[in-house]
Amino acid sequence: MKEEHYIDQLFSQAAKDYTVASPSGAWNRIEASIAAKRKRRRLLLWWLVGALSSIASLGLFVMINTHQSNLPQSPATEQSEIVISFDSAAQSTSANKAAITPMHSDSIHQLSENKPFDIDPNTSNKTRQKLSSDSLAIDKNTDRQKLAISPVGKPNQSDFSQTAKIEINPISSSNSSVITPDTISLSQKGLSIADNTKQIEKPNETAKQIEQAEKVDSAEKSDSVVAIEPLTNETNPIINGKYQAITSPINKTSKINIFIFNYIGVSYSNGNNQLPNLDNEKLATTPFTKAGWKPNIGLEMGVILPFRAFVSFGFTRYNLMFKGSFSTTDSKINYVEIDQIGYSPMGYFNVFNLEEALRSKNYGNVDYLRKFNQAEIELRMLAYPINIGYALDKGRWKWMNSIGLIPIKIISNEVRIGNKNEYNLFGQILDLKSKVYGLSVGSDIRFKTKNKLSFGIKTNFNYSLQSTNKSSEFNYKPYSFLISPQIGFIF
Amino acid sequence: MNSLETIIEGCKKNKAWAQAELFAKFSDKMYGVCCYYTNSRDDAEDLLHDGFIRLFENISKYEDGNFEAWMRKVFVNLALIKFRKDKRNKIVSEIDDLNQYQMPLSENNQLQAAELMNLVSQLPTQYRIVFNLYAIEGYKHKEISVMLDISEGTSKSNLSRARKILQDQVNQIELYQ
Repeated sequence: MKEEHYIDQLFSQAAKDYTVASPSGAWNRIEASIAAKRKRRRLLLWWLVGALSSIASLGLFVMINTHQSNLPQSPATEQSEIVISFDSAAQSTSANKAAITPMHSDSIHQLSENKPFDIDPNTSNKTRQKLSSDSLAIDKNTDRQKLAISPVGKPNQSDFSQTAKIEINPISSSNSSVITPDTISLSQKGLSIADNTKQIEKPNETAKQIEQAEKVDSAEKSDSVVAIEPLTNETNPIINGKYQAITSPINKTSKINIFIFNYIGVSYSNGNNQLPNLDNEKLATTPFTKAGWKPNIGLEMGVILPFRAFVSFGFTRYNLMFKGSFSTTDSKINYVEIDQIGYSPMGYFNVFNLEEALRSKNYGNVDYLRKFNQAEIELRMLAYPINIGYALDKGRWKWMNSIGLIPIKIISNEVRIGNKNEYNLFGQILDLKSKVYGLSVGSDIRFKTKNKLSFGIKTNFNYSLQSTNKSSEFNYKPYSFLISPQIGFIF
Repeated sequence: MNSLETIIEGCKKNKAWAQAELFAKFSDKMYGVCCYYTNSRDDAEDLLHDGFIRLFENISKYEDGNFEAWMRKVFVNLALIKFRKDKRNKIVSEIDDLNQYQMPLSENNQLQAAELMNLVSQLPTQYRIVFNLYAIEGYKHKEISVMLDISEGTSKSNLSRARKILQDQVNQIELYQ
């Protein structure tokens, strides 16, 4: 028993004092693993942010669409039939048919002050009249006369416009003609025919429906009919005489659009080989002549205001990446100050693991550093651009140019020193500011599909107006160019 | 050099400098632990790597007390996980041959400690683990039986045989000296 206890004590004491020099490169392996895990975690986080914002966008889109689908439909989509009677006495062919009162030879219907049309059935010599935009023409050459309102110069309507013809029966004893909504061609949405039980809509109702329809439709239109007013007898469903369609130029950008976009792309940052002229000489210098492409991800949302102006805000996560040479400046230096081992255009930098790296080597510190000739600096940035801009429209295409202020947060940075393809020493730029302000100039091209889903290309130039280092010895103002495909919604 | 508290706080905030300093401070000692819980230098290096990764991931759970003991526990637990896995995969048998692995000598001229730990490293794997847990880490047989998924009797038996082997070898060294 005593012996056993003695053995336990002996080995327990030995274990307490036992140390073995850890293998060289062990820390590098650990650090690389930590960096890889962090990178995976960060990537996962950004994907999560991207996914959540996409889901939010989609949810908003569905919500808005659901809301709009609950709105009353335009009567123009309903089956209805109206009769235009050319008798002197107004009559309808059935109970469910609306009637339009006789067309006198001098009855000239005007859709607008300067866009007249002639609906006079007695005007026998009138064939299909080519009239100006938003005009109505009558073809009486055949037995079944056609009454059509067609947009001159805009033969292709958006999917919201109702394509139909008004058919007018040949003049019979009753002189009545049937107009079906299927056969009515409306140049602009909003000119609608009442349903079976109603007469032609009252002007104010039409205006409301036009307004609703305009909310739904984002197709490009230069003019829209906003009301139809009988020139005589406003309340009588059997409308006599002249009509006047009041048109109004409806500019798409006269209303507010909300947009939200996600983008994932690459950013390129500038190099800098101009080292500051410092009295305080350090061991190593690292000018950075090469800059690199790094991924970026961001979200932008904003509002397009009337007159095509827009404001937007969001965030962009990107890295500035610099590669350059690493060199020791003075061969007479025999020691290394790890906390400020050298300097770059961005500031002094330290290294964390020189002691570990040297532990199993036979080099002196300076000799060890002279083995290295390459360095890399990575600044991790998070920016919150706040922009104003102007949107140009061309059909479904939008060209959005913007300029704004961009607060940029410097999240972290890393200095890597080594040889080609291998970095052995790791450190940080010292005294970096946590936030700088810059200028953001952007230009986006976006294509909007029918269901508001939009695609595009985003280009952005961010220029820091402030030096990134707290010390006045350094005056490095980085810029970066971002180019990214983007996906989003324009509501 | 920062104080241990500062380094731990830095590690809790995932600061790279703090992790580097913690490694510099404890890597030699923990590598020693790794060496007498594993069968080869490669395994010891892997355990050192995995141990520090696990340590950095879980350091937020450390609150008070002896940090070195807590840290050592992380490494020992990881070594036991590997032992159980190897045992399931029949990589180690309950009693294998005496290990030929020579523990690395200490840099600090602790020849006695190094020689003694070298003896431990030559024990059959399960004897070694049981002996380490009982004699060095201070666990009881009941705990060891749960940790290694063996009976208490086996634990006692393994410990007894390990002690016997070590006693014989120590006697030989003393005789030689």
